[in-house]
Amino acid sequence: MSEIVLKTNKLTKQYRDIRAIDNLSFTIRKGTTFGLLGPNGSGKTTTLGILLSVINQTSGSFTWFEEGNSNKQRKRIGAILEGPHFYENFTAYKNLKLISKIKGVGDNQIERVLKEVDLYNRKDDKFKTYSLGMKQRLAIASALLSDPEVLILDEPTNGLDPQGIADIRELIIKIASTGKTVILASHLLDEVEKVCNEYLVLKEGKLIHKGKVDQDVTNSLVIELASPDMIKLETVIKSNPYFISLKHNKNFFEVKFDGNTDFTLVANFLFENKIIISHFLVLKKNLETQFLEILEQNV
Amino acid sequence: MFRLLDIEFYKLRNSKYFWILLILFMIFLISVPISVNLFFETIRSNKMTREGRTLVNYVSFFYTEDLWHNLTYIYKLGTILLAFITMISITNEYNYKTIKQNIIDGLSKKEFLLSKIYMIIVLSLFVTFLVGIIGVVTGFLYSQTSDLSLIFENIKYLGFYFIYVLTFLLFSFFIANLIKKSGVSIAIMIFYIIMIEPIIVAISTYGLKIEWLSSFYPINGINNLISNPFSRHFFKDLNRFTLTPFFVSIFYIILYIYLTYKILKNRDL
Repeated sequence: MSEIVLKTNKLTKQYRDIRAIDNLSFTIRKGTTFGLLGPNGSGKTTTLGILLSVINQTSGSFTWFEEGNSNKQRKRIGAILEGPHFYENFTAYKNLKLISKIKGVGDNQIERVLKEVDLYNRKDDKFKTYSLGMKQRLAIASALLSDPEVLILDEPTNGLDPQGIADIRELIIKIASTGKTVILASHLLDEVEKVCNEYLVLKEGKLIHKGKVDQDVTNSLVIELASPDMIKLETVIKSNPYFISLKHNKNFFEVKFDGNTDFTLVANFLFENKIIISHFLVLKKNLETQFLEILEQNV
Repeated sequence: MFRLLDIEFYKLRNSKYFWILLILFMIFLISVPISVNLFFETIRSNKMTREGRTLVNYVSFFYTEDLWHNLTYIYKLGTILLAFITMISITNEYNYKTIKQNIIDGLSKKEFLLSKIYMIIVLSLFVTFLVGIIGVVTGFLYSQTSDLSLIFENIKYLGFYFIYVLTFLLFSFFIANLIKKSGVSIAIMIFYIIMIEPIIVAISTYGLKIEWLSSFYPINGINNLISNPFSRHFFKDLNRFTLTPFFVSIFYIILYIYLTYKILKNRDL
């Protein structure tokens, strides 16, 4: 059992008419890259806002590093929430210098983090002259200033061009590989799938699913199948020991198997049962389909 | 405390508005004795008289025992420039959401507030110090007295000036925190000072006939710290000196800090 970085207990935020977060309890262990997944307005930013003490929760509690939730713990966290917020008329260097003062670290870290996000040669330019991608990278640099144990990123690729998105993702994976705990909020499933190893799904403030990315992605196998004799195919395929479910499509079946089998075994099984196959397509079961299924189940 | 001051002054000294307003304030400080002296010189050289006495004796701005009272009374006007500094310093933080980022980066809300309040105290001390220097220099140059100890007579007005500036700045800081937008909060503050409170004072004094109440309003109450020194030349008995404005100011200082803290603590950033 590794150390617990964050533990929340029945966090709830009630705005006048809506419950933005509803009894949210979860635990994040050290070294995890944790995805907070959910459509826009599902409570991701509110959750992070509470965890960073800029939003007051209505009820419930949370603990960082099994210690507490004061600014002492916050100094061990690097975070950006809802985009980069800096002093517009300060240069990048001065902005980072100010944050160093707040975090109580020396300004010898500034050069390192600026190089890490590839902004060192623009360090004396004012923040307001930066492009969105550069602003976002500077935000990550500022989050890295105190060499934090936990990095919190809220929609870090929002509004960026494909190159910017790729850069940021690469950066996150690089940071995660150094053993830091990363908490990433995103509405992009693809992003969470590529970057995270654990995740939870929020919908209207409720936790509706919690899991490990690789498990959820590989714990089933979906294959599209068609044969000249669809009736025989159906009876045979249902006798496969790993068979889970079958969906009738227009020209083929969408068959779901347990993740413990693989497509060569299925092909072999069909061959042994003398089924002629006219269509055989392995669908990559990704988080997207998983996510949509989870959302559907929780309507 | 020094860490918080260091953070706040780092923000200020890298901001253009701070220098512009501070320099304007200093120009105002210096220009007052110079222009007043010029004014009296003109009167003197033109030998303007009234009832046989020269006007210079009539309204004696630089009389040593009145000097501090006269100077600080006029310098009260300049406080609005300092109020703009405190107001912009907090509304900018809301506007660019840097207050939020400061909290995320590791300041507690209390520390954030303290950094601003320390700044306000230091700023008030600094301008009081400037006024002090100008008072002494003016006393030497213009008062035409040989007894230098007289310069320090009534220096208590310098202390009142400090209390006045501090209370006024905390008042403006409180409004800026409440409203969050710089333009709107400055407009509301000015509107309150020149319209709302005078009307309320008029109603309570002349309408409801509760005269004592006027000493307890936020602006009127602290204005009484340094009452109009020139009226004394016309209504000699009106210059009764009381400590009421001092206690009223202390009350408001505590109230503004408390309310601002409450607002910030309960607010979602």
